[in-house]
Amino acid sequence: MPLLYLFLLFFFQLSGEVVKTYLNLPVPGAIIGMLMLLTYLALTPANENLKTTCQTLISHLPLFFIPAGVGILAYLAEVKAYGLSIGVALIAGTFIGFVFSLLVLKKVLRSS
Amino acid sequence: MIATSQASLLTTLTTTPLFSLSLTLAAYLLGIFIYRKTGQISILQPVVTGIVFVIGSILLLELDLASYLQGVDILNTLLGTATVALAYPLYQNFSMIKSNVAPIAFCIVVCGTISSGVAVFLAWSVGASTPVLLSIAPKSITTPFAIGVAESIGGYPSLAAALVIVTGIIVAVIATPTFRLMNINSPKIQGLAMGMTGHGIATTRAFEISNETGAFSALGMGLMGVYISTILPYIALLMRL
Repeated sequence: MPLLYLFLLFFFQLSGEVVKTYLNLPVPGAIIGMLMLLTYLALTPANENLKTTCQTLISHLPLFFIPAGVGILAYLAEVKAYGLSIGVALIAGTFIGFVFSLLVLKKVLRSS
Repeated sequence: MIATSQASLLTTLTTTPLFSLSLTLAAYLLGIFIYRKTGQISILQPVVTGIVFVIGSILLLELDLASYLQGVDILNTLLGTATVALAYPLYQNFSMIKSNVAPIAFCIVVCGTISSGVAVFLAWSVGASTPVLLSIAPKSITTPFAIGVAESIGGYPSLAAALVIVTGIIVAVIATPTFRLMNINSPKIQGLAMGMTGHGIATTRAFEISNETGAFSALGMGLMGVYISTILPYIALLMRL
């Protein structure tokens, strides 16, 4: 993972933060940075090193989610009190939302 | 005397960022190892094992949660960097995405509103408090979005982040069985639905299915994040009336 390309990603991430702060947007800086990188990719010739750097980072996405998951420990009292009912609501809600999305996508994208 | 100095040495050691990072990386590597050894059983994803292992260690060794979270803060920054990197698979599938912009946008609005609404309604019906409901509302969007939204609408940011993780895991686990059950084979539909409901965690799973599914999942995740974080502050205002 050549450092130059890691720097390029940091650069877009930082620029995204700057744009977000400056324009007071509700969108996270990283998503603005993603759009900037997308524009950059569309305008420049293909680069294998940049591709490798992106793929390496993406393949380790789960690692970067661990801290947020561990954060649930701060709500141990709530989890003990309502954990089961909220958990069931979350699983049922997610399942319904997922199936509904699949049905809508199937209907809309097939007919287009 | 010696016992106290040993105890304080242990405390000093375990509160360093190096310790927190090592613990997290070890937990993740163990997670990858188990996932591969068991032939990729989706409930045993590295993120699940990783979280369980770290939580277990914190409880067992009585580590300080605040100093752990502070120590691994760089991983939150790198989550943003990896989000930027998702531009690459999007770019690779750009032509296919471009020809479907309008129907995709329609689905984002309809599905986002319904999914978030159903989850909040179910949690409300089992008696969750208002701040908890407001932390559940952004559950389908990736953590950098969800934390910001939860903060701005009066939920608990770190609870929102944790619920986002749980939601992502649920989607990653139910995805393939649901596709089989509903006979859905299009990488476009699979990927969009996974990214829209299960953000980054489901996107990782989507890349295991195929690169194309992953790219559409990254797209669904990005669009849903933008939509929900724009609309939710206004809905929260309405809810308070």
